[in-house]
Amino acid sequence: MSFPGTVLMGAQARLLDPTIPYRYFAAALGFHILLWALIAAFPDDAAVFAGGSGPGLAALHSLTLGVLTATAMGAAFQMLPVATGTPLRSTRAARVASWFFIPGTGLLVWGMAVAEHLLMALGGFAVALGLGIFLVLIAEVLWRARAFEPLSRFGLTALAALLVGVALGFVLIIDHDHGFLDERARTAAVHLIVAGFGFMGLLALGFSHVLVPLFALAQGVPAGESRATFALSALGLVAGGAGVYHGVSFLAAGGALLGLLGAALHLRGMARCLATGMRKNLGVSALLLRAGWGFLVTSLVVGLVTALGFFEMQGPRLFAFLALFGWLLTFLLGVLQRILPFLGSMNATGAGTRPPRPSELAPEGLLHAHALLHALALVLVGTGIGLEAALPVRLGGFAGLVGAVIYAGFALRIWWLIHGRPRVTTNQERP
Amino acid sequence: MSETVKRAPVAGDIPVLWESGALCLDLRGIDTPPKPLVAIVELIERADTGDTVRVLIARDPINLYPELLERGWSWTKERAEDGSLRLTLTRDASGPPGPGR
Repeated sequence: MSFPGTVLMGAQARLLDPTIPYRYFAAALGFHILLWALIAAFPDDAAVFAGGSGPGLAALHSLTLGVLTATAMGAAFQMLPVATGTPLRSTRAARVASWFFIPGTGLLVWGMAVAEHLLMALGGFAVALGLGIFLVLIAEVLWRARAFEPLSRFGLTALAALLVGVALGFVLIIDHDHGFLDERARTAAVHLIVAGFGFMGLLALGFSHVLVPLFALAQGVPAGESRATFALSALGLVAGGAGVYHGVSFLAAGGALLGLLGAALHLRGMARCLATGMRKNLGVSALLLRAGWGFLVTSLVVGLVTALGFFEMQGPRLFAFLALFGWLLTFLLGVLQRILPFLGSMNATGAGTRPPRPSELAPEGLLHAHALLHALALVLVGTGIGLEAALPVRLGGFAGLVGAVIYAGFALRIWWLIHGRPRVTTNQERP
Repeated sequence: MSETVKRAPVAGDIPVLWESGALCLDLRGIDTPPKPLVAIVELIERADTGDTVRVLIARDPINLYPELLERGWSWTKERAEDGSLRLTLTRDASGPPGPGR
């Protein structure tokens, strides 16, 4: 067998130095461990979390910024140029963003855990700088790649939501010390909806248009269907956010309903991709993707029921838990499970070594163990929140922690296999 | 010079061509991801494709190579006169290294 040589012809401009995406993924794996450790150590905070600083808020932002946003940054920096053929204007800026974002998130989470305003403000400022660089770089790629409609439409709107989410986050940090907001709880709820469903949610829907057909080797979603999904999701986001902020139940419920319709349309397209794709066996990742989609629908149903006044205290908590941990975290872990071996193989190809096959890099045993523990963690923590009981939350936190350590082991194994392989320099490229 | 052969199109509507003794795909005008990838994988997975496939493509399909490795195919590439990329895909004599996923 002969092996391919160095990838040239513009490909290197799109396939980044692997340390760029991997630094974000490594940070995400670290914060993934931290968030479950915080839940296991401080279960009371999670079971009856009602906002305010403390370990519960720290765990929440370990997830939203540390895991979800860090992964989105690494994936966007690497996958968007590959998918669209539009290179980043500056790879140095992608590095610089990590210098602000990753330590900033650590500082912010620490400040939240110990309720220290100065740490929160400094961390928040660094996070905002990192996100600002990310936003400019990715918005510029998406703007130049406007021909890739679903990616640019969902992506640019997600970035606009990121801007609003960061601004609201800053307002909440300043209010923590000065207390000028009349409706702090509602502002925090809108911050969650805009950042969770607006930024991460729309980005997840947009990326799914490329990633799920790529994983399944299937035709993409028809343009008309994608536009309708976008319109329903964006309208739902605006209506839901406005309804929650102004305390107008029917508007918030209408937003959840529009979101449900958008989700149903999106999931129909995704299900068709999986059913008609050439790759029928997507392994454990397919389970996580499907579970994530199930949680997306469940979270919106809980949001709808809560908006209609059927849940009192547990409703908002369950809604946030199902959306952030159930949908976004589960979906992201499923995506990352396929991206990491694939990216590892692509990077090894670029380095002129004998490239490993993605299947060599993804041992099913580790992935099954992680998926099982992740599911157990979700059930236990969800039950604990529903019953306002600390014990199931603590047990769920431990299950999640062990699962997160296994997942980090899976990622480290890929890194070691890529960088520990003997180099076979070949050149099959003819001028 | 490539010519159309009597084969079912791949990825829905991409015609399969014949060039220099091998099946060929001209994907230069097709940019929507992952359609070029799906077209190539669909062709090499067909039982009657043979051991060599040629591909004309506008930009380096980085995400194709892991799929080729999974299926036991090698590749070479060269620049065409119009600036696009000409890939020659060859089935390895030893066959696929293991079950593709």
